[in-house]
Formats: sequence, C-alpha cells, structure tokens
Amino acid sequence: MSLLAIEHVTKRYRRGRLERVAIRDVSLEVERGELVAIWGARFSGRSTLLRLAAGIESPEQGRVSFEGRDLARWRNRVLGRSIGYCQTGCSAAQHGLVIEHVAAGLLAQRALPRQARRLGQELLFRVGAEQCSRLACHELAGAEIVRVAIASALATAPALLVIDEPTSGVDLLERDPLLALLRSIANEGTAVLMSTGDAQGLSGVDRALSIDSGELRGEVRPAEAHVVPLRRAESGARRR
Amino acid sequence: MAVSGDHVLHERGGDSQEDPATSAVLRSQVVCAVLGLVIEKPSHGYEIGQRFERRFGEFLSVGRSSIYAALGSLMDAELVEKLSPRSNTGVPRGAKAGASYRATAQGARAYRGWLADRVRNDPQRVAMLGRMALACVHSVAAAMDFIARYEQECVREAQELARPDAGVASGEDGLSAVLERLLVEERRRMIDAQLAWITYARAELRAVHPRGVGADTLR
Repeated sequence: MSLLAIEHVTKRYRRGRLERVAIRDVSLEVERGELVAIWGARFSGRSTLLRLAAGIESPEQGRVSFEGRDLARWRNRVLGRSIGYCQTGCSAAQHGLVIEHVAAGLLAQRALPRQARRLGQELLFRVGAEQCSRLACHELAGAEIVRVAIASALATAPALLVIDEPTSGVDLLERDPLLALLRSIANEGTAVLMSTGDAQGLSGVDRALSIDSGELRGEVRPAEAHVVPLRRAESGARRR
Repeated sequence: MAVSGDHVLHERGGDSQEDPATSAVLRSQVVCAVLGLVIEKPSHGYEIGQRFERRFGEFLSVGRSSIYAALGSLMDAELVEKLSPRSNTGVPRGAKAGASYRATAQGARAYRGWLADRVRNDPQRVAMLGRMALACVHSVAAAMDFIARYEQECVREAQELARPDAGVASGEDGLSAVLERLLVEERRRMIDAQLAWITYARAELRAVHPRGVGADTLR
C-alpha cells in the first residue's frame, strides 16, 4: 500500500460561468521516504495538485488516499499531523517569534509549553535555522522563511511533507542547501512531495514528473536514465 | 581550468588557426582529456592515468595503455613535450615515475580553442536535429508527442544532474568546487531554457488546435 495514492483525480475551478480544469485525470503514488518533484510552469496545476495531495482541497472526481484511507473523509485527522504542508512565505506574515511559531504546532498536540519550546529548538536546529529562533517572523530572509516553515511542518513528525516551490524567493546560492535539506528529510523516512518551476529543483530527486495544463506527463525514474550525469547523484546514500 | 604560466611555455603568438594535424589529434575525447590534465599540472604518465580515472572515469573507460597512446599522439602533434631531467617544475621523481610531460604553448592554445568550440552553441547541430524532427512530425498530435518526449529528456537530465556540494572551501580545492558548481548550474540553466521553450511550444500548438488534436496536418 502506497503512503499517498492519487487516483484519476480531476479538479475544476469556476468563476462565474467560466470553468477551468486545473487538474485533469491525474494519478500518482508516493512511497515512504521518497522525494518526488513536480515540475511545471506557472498555472500548470502544480500547486493545485499539491493541495489535493495534502488534503487541503478535495477532488471533484477521483480519489486521494493516505495510508489507504480516503483523504476527503480523514483530512481533519491527518492534515497537520501525518501530513505536513508547507506553503513557503507564510511565515513572513506571522506575528510573534519564530520559536513560538514552530512550537505552536506542538502546543496544539497538547505538548507542555517548555517541552514545545525545547522540541521547537531541536527542529530549528534540524533544519539549520537555529539562529532564527529569537527573531520575529517578519525579520526572516527567503531561505530562512522556508527552513522555518519546514521546521513547523515537521513538528508533528509527519509521514508526508508537501512543500510548494521551496526555492521560490530564495537566493540562488541558498537553493541547493535547501534542496539538500529536503533530500535528507526524505532519507530519514519522511516522504517529500514538492513542486518546482526550474531544473534546479529536480536535481537528485527520486522521481521527477512534469505537469502541463493539469495533466501529469511521463514519469522519470533514475533507473531508466541513459543521460550521463556530470556526477552521479548520491543515490547510494538513499533510503529504501 | 587554470593554465598557469609555470606549466606551459610562453605563447609565441602567430596564427591562431588550428593546423589539420592538431585538429585530427583533438578528435579523440581521451586525447583532449589527457591534454587538459597535462595543462592543469605537468605529471608523469602514471599520475596522469590516476587523475584521468578520478576526473573522467565516470564518462570514459580507458586502459592505462590508452593514456600513453594519447600522450604519444599529443607529442607527435607537438601539443605536449617531455620535461627535461633538470626542469624545475616540482614534478616528483619517484622510482616508478618515468618520463613527465608538460603542455606546449601550442597545446594550451589548441585546448582552449577546442573547449570554446564545444562550449558554445552549435547552430548547425540544432538545425540538423530540427530537420530530423520535422521528418517524423506531421500532425499536432505528433508534435505534442515529440515535445513530451523532449520534455521528458530535459526533466530526466535535470534529475540526474548531481546537486553540487554547497560547502565553501578555500584554496585550489575550493576553486574546483566552485567551478564544478558553475558547470552544473550552466547545464541547469540550459535545461530551464529548454523547458521554457517547451511551455511556449505547447501554447503555440494549442492555439493551432485547442483540443482533441487528431490528425490535423501542420504543413
């Protein structure tokens, strides 16, 4: 049984009498510890697909299941727990200190305040943002915002981390370390489903898919590759 | 790749056109790779073989004899020369060291030319591929299929490109790491451009035939 299974999902948006098909008959499975990237141009449907995968939106047709259970029925139990959703950039709009923001998810899980702060510090250290702990959220720079958002999402030790465009708005030189962080999270067993609009986001992922006009295109697995890489991705160090 | 003045003879100027013998020698990737290694650092044949394995082993699988054959070809073309025993270049002289080699000015010049030729875009190759593609694309559906395959190759290559180590090192190792990152980034940006073209091409084709592509003829 796959961790996440999206089966023949279609999603439409209506505005007045106009209708736009954002996702058209998409099927996709994600396994535990897998790093999967969806490449697509703007308005290709990549963010909608991620919201469907996280259970934030429900499909009109088809089914999304997480650990074998229908996400449409179970999303209140899994979203923010077994599924962590990162919409990067959200932290900048938050009030309060970073540590409070990260600890909030733990407090919601009924952790004691002191325990939540300690775990929050550990999570910030895990994502390389420990220096941001005492900063206000609006003081964070691009990569720090993403790292803090990841730390918040990891607070509940999710089995699946869904992250929309992790490198958007991040300085060029800070993108690879950020992507390496996602790789390491997947290596530790948390599946990561991310979207990207550039080739950089595809480096070293387990599976890369492209989406266009809401339709998912051919899946690419490293084993099928015949293009000689500059240097083989660290596939040997991967989980599974 | 840095070409230190200590490692090559001073350039004598003159005509920068490659002579036919040089062009013939540089047709072999192994020869070019060996020339690059010699330019980078004058070395004995054995050491060149070891560096070749480390640097290019992933792409080119050759035996030690091929390295010596390449050095022989480069010597014949006067792109590389043997160092004199009294040469003061810091090449270690161990018992197994044998002869050591360094690039001539002509070799350094030829290598730079060869490299620049490969790094730049090759419009002729692109045009040829385009014409080859036209031979099999007679409908919007076929064009879409061709683009989907092209996209798959782009995505595949992007996926296979190793994520460069982000650590900052100093000295020559640090510079090598930066150069490697730059090479990866160059490829990524090329792929980004190709993917952007794919998005554009799909939009154009959809404008020709919005949906249900069928067998509409393009030409």
